[in-house]
Order: sequence, then C-alpha cells, then structure tokens
Amino acid sequence: MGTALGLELTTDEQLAAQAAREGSDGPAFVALVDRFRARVWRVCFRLMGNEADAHDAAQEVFVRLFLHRARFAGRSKYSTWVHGVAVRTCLSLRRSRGRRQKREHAAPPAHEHPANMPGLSLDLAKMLETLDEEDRAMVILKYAEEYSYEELAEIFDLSVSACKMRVSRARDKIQREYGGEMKNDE
Amino acid sequence: MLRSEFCLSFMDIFDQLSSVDVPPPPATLDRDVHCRLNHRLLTVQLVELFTQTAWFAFRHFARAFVGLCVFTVSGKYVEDRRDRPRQGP
Repeated sequence: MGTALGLELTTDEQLAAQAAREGSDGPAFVALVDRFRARVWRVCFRLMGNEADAHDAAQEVFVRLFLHRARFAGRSKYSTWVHGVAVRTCLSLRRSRGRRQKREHAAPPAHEHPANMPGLSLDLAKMLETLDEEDRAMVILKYAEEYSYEELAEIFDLSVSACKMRVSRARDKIQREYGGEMKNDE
Repeated sequence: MLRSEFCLSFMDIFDQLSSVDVPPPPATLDRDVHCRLNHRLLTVQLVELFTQTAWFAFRHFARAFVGLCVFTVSGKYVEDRRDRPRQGP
C-alpha cells in the first residue's frame, strides 16, 4: 500500500504528521502500522511472555498510536515514541491483569507460568517475576532486545544513569534472592 | 564457588533472554487492529456525542419543566422572548 501511494520514501516523522491529519486509519497510518508491526510485536511478545497476550497488547498499542497520533510532538524519534507507547501499554495491561487476578483469587497470573515463555528456563521466568514491572521491562529490553541505556532512558523518560542504576539494582535483587538456590544447585 | 564465577553464571542467565525466539506476528494482526480501532472509534464518538449534546438537551428540557412548574403554581405563562421568531423592521 505504501508503495502504491509513494509513501515508502517518506520518513517515519513525515508519515506520522500525515497520519495526524487523517480522520481515520488512512494510508499514512496503515503505512506506519506496516513499518512498525514487527518491532511492536517483538516488544509485546517479550514483555507479555506469550503469543495470546502479545497479540492483544499489539492491537492495543496500534489503537493507542492512532488515538494519540496528534500527541507526537517530534521531540524524539518517532520510533522511540512508538516503543515508549508499546512498553507503557504492556506494563498497564500486565498491571491490570495482575490486579484482576488478585481480586479473583484465582490461579497465579498467566504470565507467571513458565510455560508461557517458551524456550526460557523456568528459573529465569520466575526470577524476573520478582521484579517491579518497570524494572522487569528494562531488564528484558536491555538483555533480550539489546537496547542501549540511551534508548531505555528515552523510552522510560529517565536519565541514562538512572536506567543503569535500576538495571543494576534489578540484577542485584535477583542475585540476592536466588543466589542461594543457584549455589545449592551447583 | 568464587564470587566472580558466581556473577559470571548470572550473566549467562541473563543472556538466555536473547536466545528466546520471537515468533512472527500473527497474520490476522492488521485485521484485528482495524476491527478494534473501529469499535474504539465508535465508542469514543458515541461518548463525545452524548457528552456534548447532554448539556444542551438538559437546558432545553429544564426550561420547559421550569415553565410548567411556574404555570402550575402561579397560573401565568412565562414567555421566553428568545423563542420568538425575529420580526423584520
């Protein structure tokens, strides 16, 4: 679609400005979805931990991108803004699910099941669940998606040093809590 | 175990994160986004329509209701000049 309309040569920021002027999900927004589909999906899958939740989260991210498309002020790169929206959406979905499941006193949240992180060892999934939601997201983006501290700082609206400190503290926390178990395993 | 070895094994654990394969996005994602967006827009527009027209409707019917009450109590009909059609000079 982007090719047919000659949108493939425009930058993300130009497309975003064009999408902000569109009344519905027109060609510019469709082109943006096309460009960011894979990246948003990766972030959602990493943070949500399973395909069903990631699918739901990715849809919500694109809906929010559309509804808030006029809020992009151009202070950062459009891709950074999209990643920020994706991370915040995933965090809010995980928090609301956690609250709902606490209220219902049901089985532990779906994302706590290690089986929902295919390929990831049971221990690491469990370890990450002990972290605060934002710290967990930072650690995952840092180590799984190899984001730089500068990118994390822009996404989480923090300073670079604050990001470094939070990732380091999250690692320390895991080491403190699971260090004994690991030593025993050895 | 030495502390350095212990830390190294923890770094290996974090490295496991990048070894998890991410499946490709579902083929229905675009369609689902479009459907969800349409539902959301419909809801937003209905809410906007209601909130923006509610005050106007309330004022309109409240005036009629107050007029009814005044007429019931006093027997006089309060004329609202604003309702009169404009007359030419």
